[in-house]
Amino acid sequence: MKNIMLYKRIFAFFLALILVLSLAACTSSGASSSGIPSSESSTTDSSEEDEESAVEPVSDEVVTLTLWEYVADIERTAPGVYLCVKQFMEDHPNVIIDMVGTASEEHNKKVLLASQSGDLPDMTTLEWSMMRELKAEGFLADLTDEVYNRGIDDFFVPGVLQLEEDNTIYGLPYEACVCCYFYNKEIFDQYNVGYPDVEEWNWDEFINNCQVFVENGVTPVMCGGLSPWNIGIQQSFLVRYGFPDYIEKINSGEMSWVNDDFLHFFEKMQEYGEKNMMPSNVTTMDYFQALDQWIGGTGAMVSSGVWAVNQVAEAEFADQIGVWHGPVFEDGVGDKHRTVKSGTICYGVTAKCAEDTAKFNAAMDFFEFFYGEEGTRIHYEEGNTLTVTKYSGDKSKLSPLLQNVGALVDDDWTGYLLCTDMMPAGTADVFYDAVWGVMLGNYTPQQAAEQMQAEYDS
Amino acid sequence: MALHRKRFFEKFLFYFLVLGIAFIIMIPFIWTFFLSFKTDSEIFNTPFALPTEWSFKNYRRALETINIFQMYKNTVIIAVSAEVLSLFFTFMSSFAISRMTYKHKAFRNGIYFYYLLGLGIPVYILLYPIYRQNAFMGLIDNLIGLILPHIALTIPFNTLLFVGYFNGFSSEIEEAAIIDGCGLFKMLIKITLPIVKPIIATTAVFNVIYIWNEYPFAATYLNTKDLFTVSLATSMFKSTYSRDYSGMICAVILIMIPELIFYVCLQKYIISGMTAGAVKS
Amino acid sequence: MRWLSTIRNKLILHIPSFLFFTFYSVLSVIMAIYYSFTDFKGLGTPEFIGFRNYSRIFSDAIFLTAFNNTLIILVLSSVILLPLSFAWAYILDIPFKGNGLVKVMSFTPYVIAPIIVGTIWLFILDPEIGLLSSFFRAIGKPGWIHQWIGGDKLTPYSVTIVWVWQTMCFHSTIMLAGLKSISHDIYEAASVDGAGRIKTIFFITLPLMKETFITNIALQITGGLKIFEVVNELTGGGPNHKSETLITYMYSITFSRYKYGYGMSLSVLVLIISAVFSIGYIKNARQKLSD
Repeated sequence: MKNIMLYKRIFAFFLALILVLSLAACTSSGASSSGIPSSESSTTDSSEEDEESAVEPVSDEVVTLTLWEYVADIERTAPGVYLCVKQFMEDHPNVIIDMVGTASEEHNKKVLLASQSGDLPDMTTLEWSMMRELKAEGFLADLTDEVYNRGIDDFFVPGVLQLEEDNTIYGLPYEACVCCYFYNKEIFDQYNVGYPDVEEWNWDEFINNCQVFVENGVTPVMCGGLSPWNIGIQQSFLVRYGFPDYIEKINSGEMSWVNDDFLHFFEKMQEYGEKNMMPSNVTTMDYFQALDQWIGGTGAMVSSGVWAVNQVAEAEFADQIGVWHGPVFEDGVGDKHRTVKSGTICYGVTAKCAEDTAKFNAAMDFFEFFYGEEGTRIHYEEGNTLTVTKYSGDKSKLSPLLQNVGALVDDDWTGYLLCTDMMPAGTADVFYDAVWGVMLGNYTPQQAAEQMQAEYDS
Repeated sequence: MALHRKRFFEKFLFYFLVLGIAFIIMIPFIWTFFLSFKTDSEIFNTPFALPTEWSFKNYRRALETINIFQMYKNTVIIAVSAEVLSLFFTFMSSFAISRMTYKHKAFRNGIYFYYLLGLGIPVYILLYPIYRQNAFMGLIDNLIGLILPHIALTIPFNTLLFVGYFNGFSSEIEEAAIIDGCGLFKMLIKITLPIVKPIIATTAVFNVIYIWNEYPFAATYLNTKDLFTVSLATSMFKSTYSRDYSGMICAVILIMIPELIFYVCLQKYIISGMTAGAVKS
Repeated sequence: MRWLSTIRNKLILHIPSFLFFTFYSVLSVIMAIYYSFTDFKGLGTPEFIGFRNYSRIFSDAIFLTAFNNTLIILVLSSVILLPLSFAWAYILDIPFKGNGLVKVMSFTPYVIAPIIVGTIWLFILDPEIGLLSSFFRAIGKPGWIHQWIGGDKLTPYSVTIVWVWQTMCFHSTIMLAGLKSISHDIYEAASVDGAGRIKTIFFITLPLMKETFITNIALQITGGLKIFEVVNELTGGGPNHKSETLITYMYSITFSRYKYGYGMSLSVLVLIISAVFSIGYIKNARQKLSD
């Protein structure tokens, strides 16, 4: 008899647990599956807005789009996107854009996983190589016609819009990626070194002039080996050694990584390391630490990119900051003034979204707004973000630093994608390893080039 | 008198040693606390100096960026439901493994080692398959999609601890209860449970801390900000090209405090289950 | 106990754990094993390539480095951790004023987020700006400064120290629970017999703690093989994969280089090593116990 009592008690316990679980389920599914997409609520005010738009009777049918961003906190770390989405939704009350932010590493995993289970969002940021993989698998929508018909191509700075091999457009570039050196004019003046962008140093001048810093115990270039990708400027050196000209042949196997021009590049990287251009503890420092130390006055230059304009503006010597594309190479390939100038990432629209005409139109409406005059203005003036589109507003309203750095984006240097963005997905890591290995003296130039070729062969 | 002095000296030495060691262990935490008041530039340029300004600016910014209380709530829901179920299940199965008699001894060992296999599973093996399972059951972006796997993931650890603990005890007391005509579940609750209290408390501490800090699943399976768990808090301060270290450190402190409180509350239960021969009959 | 060992009772007790564990963990492992025989890249249809992933592992120089590093960390930390955490648990078992406070103080390393652990220990271990190097410089022994992290050799040793610091209280808490299971009567009997403290530890406490030690060693083996976050935050496996451990390498293969198939074969291998060592050890130790 007592046994039955106990069974009852255990049963009741189970029941209670199931209750707890289902309660949890309610709170969570309520957020994701109800008609009102409160999930977008990055802040309270925007969720209020949604509720309003859902309560008010809207004449058109409401279209809801999901947008995945590769940062966790969109409002703060991608303010341009956040403000554009808000403004767009205000202008188009029948369109709701659900923003989902994920930290960049997890974002890639999420995109891969979602593609496998058919849960891709309508629009998402994609790494260029990932975009190509998804395109090959048929997950992305062809944007070519829409881009040309709507004239979206005219909004971009020349050379930035990327055409695929079959002259189609699947990814729209976003967030200016121009790798550059920021330099501290105070330190340059202190040691009587001329400004590199004014004197247009070539490689040898670069190395030799920087030895003054080395002799005085000042690190010439701050950079962080714990962030392997912090070799963006090195990638623009490789561009100057003909990478964009050779990549198609390399991808198709007609040409080897072990060629004279790339070996010259790797030799220069070896010299870079041997001549103490980097901090001595580069392997235990990440990019963020390197940048913060430079802002604090350590080191003559920092290897970075135009994306860091807001951070370097916080330095005490902010009005003494110069920007430079890096040296030109006498033994380079083609035009000496070529560099990495593109979108850090791109936006793709999924094939699933394109099946629904209303959705696809709304998505393209959004991009037309986003890349257009108003979207660019919002980025520059309200979001303090540099874009790869043409800014037609009054530049004198911007801070001098933002003007200087912005000039790098639309000067006459020819722009290309990052080398790693032209390689197959997953090859970037091997490339980082090769370049760092040469700079740190762990690999010879020959070994590094062979390692890259071996990766292509496998 | 001499004895007294010796006693005092011994006591002093003991405290000096124990508190000293504890303090050394704790230095990184204290340091983190100081760092949470510094600016990013101070953190990297003068890491060992005290903050120049004792203001709660960083904390205010951190609290504006993350909705920490919503995160606490979500994590507590996940941790409590997963934890209660997992403890309940493994308590039963470990009892069965350790105490029950089997016709084939291999069965007992088989099922025990079957669970222990789970200890060696790197969590990244599970990331994709469990996503698929969740997608199949419609549990993406849903807290249940985290609760259920967490139950499964804590089973090996709990089994190891429980079975080990059960084995360390002789089953005399339980046998006696059975002879007195006690049923299985009554015995489990009235006799066995009090005995294993220390290990339940220990297991609960580590399971909850594990779930509290679990990052890869939470980051990949949740989309909606309202469902984020505390372990995602630090990622809110990162973007590809910038990192708000001071905000992140504040978030780390905010994540840690409930864990320490939880530990303080539970460590009281890590006490002797067999109090002074009371159960010896 | 035979009385209660009915099939029905056994089923009730076993089924919930069994179902959950099988559905989530074992099924996932089976899927991982399947992928480990393919060239899956995370996208597209996986193609079956037999044992090619596995045969590749042993000619992979980075894997061998990673294996070597993991072994160093595992062996070294076991040697340090077990006595240390037992000693600490023993101290915490003594009732003294402030016992709770000391417990909480020593528990802080375990709950602090790895992302900050990396940063803090970077400030300590950095060969240039780190506390350790600054200390050596201050006492006039700059010759003692080495590349604790970020160099060619020393990273696994430094990682071991951080790992010991981080998990000591984890092990001592489990040991503490084990100490609590020892009846006070036994101690009383020992002190009546006139046994000193040291003698009591070696002849009474330690033998009675065998099960606890088995637990701790098994956890140490499986945990050490899976070491990931500390390494990832301190050196990211670099420079040039020199400080890679099994799981950091598997992670970079799977998620940075999108070689899901190869990554899964590495994980399966880790799982096998871990299973062989931990289960083999437990089986062996139990046998000795019952003899």
